[in-house]
Amino acid sequence: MGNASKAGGLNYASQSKVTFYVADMFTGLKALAMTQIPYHSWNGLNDKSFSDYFKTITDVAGRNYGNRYAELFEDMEYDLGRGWFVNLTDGFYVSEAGSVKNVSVKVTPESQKDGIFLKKLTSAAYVNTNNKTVSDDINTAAKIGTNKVRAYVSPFTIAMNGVNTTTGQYNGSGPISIGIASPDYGYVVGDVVQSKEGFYQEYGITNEAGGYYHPQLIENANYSKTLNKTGFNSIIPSGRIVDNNNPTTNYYYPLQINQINNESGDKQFRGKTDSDFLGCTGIRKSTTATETALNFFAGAPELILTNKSSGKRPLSLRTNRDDFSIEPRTGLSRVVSQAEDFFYALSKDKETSPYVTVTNSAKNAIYSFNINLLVSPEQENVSYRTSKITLEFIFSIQALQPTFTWKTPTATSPGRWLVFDNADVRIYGEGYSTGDYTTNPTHSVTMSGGSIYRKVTINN
Amino acid sequence: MIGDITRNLVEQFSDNFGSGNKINYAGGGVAYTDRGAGAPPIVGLVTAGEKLSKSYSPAKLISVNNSEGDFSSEGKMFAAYSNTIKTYVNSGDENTSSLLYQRFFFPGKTTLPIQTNNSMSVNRNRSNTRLSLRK
Repeated sequence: MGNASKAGGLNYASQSKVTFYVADMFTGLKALAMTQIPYHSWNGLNDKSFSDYFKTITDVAGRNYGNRYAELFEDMEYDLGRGWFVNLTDGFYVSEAGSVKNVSVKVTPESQKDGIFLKKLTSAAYVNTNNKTVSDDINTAAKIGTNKVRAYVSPFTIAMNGVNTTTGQYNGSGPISIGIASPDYGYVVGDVVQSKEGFYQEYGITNEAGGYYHPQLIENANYSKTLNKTGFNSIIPSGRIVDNNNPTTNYYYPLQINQINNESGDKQFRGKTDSDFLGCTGIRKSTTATETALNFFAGAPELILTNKSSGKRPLSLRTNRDDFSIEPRTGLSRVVSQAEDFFYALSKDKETSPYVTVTNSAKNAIYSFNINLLVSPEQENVSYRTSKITLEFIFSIQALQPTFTWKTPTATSPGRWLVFDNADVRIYGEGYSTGDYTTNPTHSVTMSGGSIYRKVTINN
Repeated sequence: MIGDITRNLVEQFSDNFGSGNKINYAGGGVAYTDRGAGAPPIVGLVTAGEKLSKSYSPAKLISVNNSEGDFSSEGKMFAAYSNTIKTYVNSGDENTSSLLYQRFFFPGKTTLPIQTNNSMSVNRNRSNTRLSLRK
């Protein structure tokens, strides 16, 4: 059996190598994140420069993406597999009597070293064979140090897809993808701090109620009375990122009022047949997971828990912000930092460091390593040949720039990546070492013909 | 007030965690806890809501399917209300407004389950499906 790439037609191979350029995942998301600029406001913001970017990039038919954001998200996520999750492979098939067909597969690491890498890489979100939580397993993070260990959990997960065709359902036969999985989702409940109702709402809460809630707790009809008794005036969908190296607070990303107060027009639907209750797809009439993620992690500011009071409420969730002339912190900036920290930690972790190549350092560092996977039929009584696929991960920190701007730390403010410092987008792909790039994340190659996002090498 | 909105979400819409509305979210990403030897605690200050929610694993919402192009089903419904929104449009009764009940789409994926032999593999019972491409 073999794996295949859709790019330029279906290539069948029993062995192949996919080189994945990690920076492209984030610079591509930066391009898409610029659709969220209308929800932002800070001193000196020139939002036109961001919206103008979309007039400069075109689809395969030559139409620019100005004001066609939904189409851009759909082209990226559905057609190209480049979004909050990015496809590493497109599918697995068997070649039998001259025809290529889907098959249910299982994927296993080739060696123990490959298993360790895969486990660490997926530590943001994984399940065990019984679908139970795997917790307190220190093998799932990349660790630095011996006496006082700092554990860096991966912001990523590796995911599979099944395929449904007219001939049946095939488990795992679809793409293998890598996605950002450090955030989770729920609700922020509290009282809006009224002075902030224009942009970047903050929330007053108490020690007994309010803050971030799991959706499973909130979405229980019996809990509605409890919520009413709190007297809070707002319940807002929110993302959250738990930073296990930060001892002070988690990070919260409730949607802004200007995001949820957005009538969805033709994307409304009734709750039930003949129901008076209407629902909508919210925000911008989109159905892509990538736009949902960026609504939370690029359109909304990052909040932290503080002991600042607000009216009768002794605590509050406040914007994590110290400079009002630049953007507030966002979740996208947070996960870029997490990814950088995680790859650095992989290069120091005693289990993985022998296999990680590091060139340069700091903001010029380039990390790379390989994971070998074996793909075989799920059914053990069939005799298809096992396919091998090598995933090579290359993360050039330099290739994040100038798409993202590194704001150096000061005595009072930690360093961070700025998403909206400029409207530049440079997708370097294999041009990470030569400076060759494209500004269009829907392109297949750079200006000089180099692969972006991934490069597939067939080796039969 | 906000409880009325969440009750209506559960009773009037599907694709939420409420009684009788099982969304396709079976452990789509779970534990984030990994303290490491001597590492700082995973959280310090947390909100009351998080303390009340501690029996639930983080809702990564990775296995919530998205039928591409279908906005009326699947995905995940959320309640959304704030008194800073002065008019809830499209409705005489503000509790029925579409702004209060918003559907979001999340990746329909299967995270790779870990096996006992230190390998990872597709769990044959957990493969999600992507339906046909849009339009």
